[in-house]
Amino acid sequence: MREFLAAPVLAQGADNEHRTISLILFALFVAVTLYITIWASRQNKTAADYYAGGRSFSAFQNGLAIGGDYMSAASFLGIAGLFALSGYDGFLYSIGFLVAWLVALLLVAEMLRNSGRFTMADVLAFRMRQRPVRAAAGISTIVVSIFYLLAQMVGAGALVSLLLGTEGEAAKIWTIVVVGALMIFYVTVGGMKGTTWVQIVKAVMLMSGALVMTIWVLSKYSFNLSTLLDAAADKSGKGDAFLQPGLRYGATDMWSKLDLLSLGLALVLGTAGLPHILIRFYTVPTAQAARKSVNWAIGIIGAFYLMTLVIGFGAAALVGSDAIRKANPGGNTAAPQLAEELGGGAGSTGGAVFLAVIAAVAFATILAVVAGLTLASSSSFAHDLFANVFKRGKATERDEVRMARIAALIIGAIAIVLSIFARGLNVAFLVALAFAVAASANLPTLLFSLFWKRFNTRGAVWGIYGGLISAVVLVLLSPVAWGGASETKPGVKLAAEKAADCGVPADSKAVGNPDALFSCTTKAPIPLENPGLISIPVGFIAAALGTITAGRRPEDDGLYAELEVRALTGTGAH
Amino acid sequence: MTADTSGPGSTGAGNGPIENGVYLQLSESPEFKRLRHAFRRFVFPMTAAFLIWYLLYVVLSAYARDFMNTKVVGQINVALVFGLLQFLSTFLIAWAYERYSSRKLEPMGEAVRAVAPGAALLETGAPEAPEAPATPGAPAEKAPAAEETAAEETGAEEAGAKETAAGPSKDEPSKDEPSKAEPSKGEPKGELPDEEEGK
Repeated sequence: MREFLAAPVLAQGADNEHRTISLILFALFVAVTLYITIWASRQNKTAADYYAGGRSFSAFQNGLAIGGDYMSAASFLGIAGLFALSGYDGFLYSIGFLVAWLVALLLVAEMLRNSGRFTMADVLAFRMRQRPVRAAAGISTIVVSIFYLLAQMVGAGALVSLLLGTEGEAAKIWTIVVVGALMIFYVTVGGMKGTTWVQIVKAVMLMSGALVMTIWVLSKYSFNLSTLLDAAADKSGKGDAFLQPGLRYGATDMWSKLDLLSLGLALVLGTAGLPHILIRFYTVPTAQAARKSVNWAIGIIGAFYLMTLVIGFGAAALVGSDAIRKANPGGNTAAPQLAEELGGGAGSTGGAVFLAVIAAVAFATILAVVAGLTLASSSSFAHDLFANVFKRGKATERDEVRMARIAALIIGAIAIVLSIFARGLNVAFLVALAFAVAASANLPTLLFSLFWKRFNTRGAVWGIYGGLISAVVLVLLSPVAWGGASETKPGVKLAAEKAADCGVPADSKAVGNPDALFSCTTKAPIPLENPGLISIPVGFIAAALGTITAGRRPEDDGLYAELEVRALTGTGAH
Repeated sequence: MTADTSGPGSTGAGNGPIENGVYLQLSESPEFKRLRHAFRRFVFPMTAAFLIWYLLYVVLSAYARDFMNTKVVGQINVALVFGLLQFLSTFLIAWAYERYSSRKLEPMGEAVRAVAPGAALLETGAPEAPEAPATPGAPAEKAPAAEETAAEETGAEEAGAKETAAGPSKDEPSKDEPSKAEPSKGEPKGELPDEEEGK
């Protein structure tokens, strides 16, 4: 972490110039979004306005907002960086993120829109006993959202200070506080309507920024992909291996291959279980519009990931892996560095301007995603836990919305405090964990709810807790938490400071993951970093076992008939 | 606790024995069975197909690297082509489903709604009965100032107002729906995806 901050940051010469422009652009984005939020707040009258933006967005608007909610800084900067440093392996991530949308399109979006109201739990609890199922679904919603939120906010702290070229811990803490305060404001004041517009603005900025960079890069290689790949492979110093799978997920033992499968499964099955994505389907008037908005999102997200391929390889070819790794070992600055290079290089005005533009896009990206996550968790807290578990369905809409605002404030505050404490940790694994929990706890119950007549309360509760607990426990037993070197995680070369942190000599080969949470010398009991391969089947099996062991109630058939008719035809939809 | 399902305004669930009876009857109707069959016939095999196709890609990336590394043309190897085909297949499936859904499933859904024995009863069954109509939250006082908004935004405002105005009875969601749908249907952008997605 330290060498990462002390490294010469981006363009030393143009530092001040780009920092000023960046700050102006940040301020401009904040001003525009604050105005939108206040405008939106004047229109928020009912609970449907607050939770679902009045269900009045068009399919195209919602498609953009889904893109804005989904494409995090991790996808933009992280995947571009992965391409730039590890070559082809970036594709394994982006393809999983995209294909996952087919699960949402075919199995979830329309039926959820037709049968639910404000949260994921509306559908899970539709034909179940309300309190146990809503409690489980609410907890799982909040856990998934907070994991994701922490990863984004800790990342934001490091990233914005990196992009602005400010050093030291104070800058990081301030960034986390400012991002957190803005996100609380968007959500409490603007509700879903305000948050959606922030996401739409961000999606347009992100797509435009990416498009300009893509065309610019391709134009340097006369629009020939093969020439670009050639240049990237050449400059990377790794030759053809750079264009082949395996540089990052390269170890050849059994567990690392299973780990790759595990990651792939969690990515493809997780998206349709992410609560902040699911509640976006409620913001359109009909199921038809929900379907069309997912189609727009697939087009937008697919185009975006194709562009990150060009941007990442472009960064490898034009900036070079060494320069990228020097600025940030994780490669997170590959896209901004490429922007600077395209604009005319370090020290030039063009370079400073384009770098500042891309930094502002990254900033907007972070804000839009954290706002969506805060909204999802506070909605679920108010609508599921408060109104239906504590008040047993007797809360008024007004109380519920007030509670949602209070919850957004509290969850936001907790996220800020946790992020400040976690700022020195490597929390990137939390994104993968959020996907794994969504795929293991939420997706099985959601699919069984919609498609399995016999499914019942016990099945839903077992499925959610089974998937949630197994995913979290597996990660706590994995190399993410225990960093000792093993066959799967061979010992790494340690920086002097890391070695001191771990309490081993600098030439020790006993440490496989120096960023491990608990210990960097103890070997992990479970060699899988990604829990999905085990926890997803656990979620499905627990849900099935719970269902089979519980008795049948005659009234359940009627409730399933109602759910099925409503989900497929839209009768009685909200 | 079992009675929770009928709690007013708690969810969309449980409209009580009468409506459940209607839904049971409806779910047994030939029209609905046809819709369910047509829906499942498309989405289940398609889901199996794209999951297998995707897992094949991941498995080959992990276990068949020699094959994936074969060069096809220039610097383009099998792995890259395979990856790009995943994008293509995703776009194509989305496009195919949009087509299937708008041409086949939607008319079938309308047929079910048309034969609903107690259609009127079903609609009144919509359990969204806000106890506090027109919740005058703090922001609402400023509502008049919202005139500065653009066309689509006024549409949004209308829809919001409608929801409030529908008040406690909100008796005809089916009438309400189409008018709310206007902002999306009326907007040319909203109709494009079926043609655009294939690209």
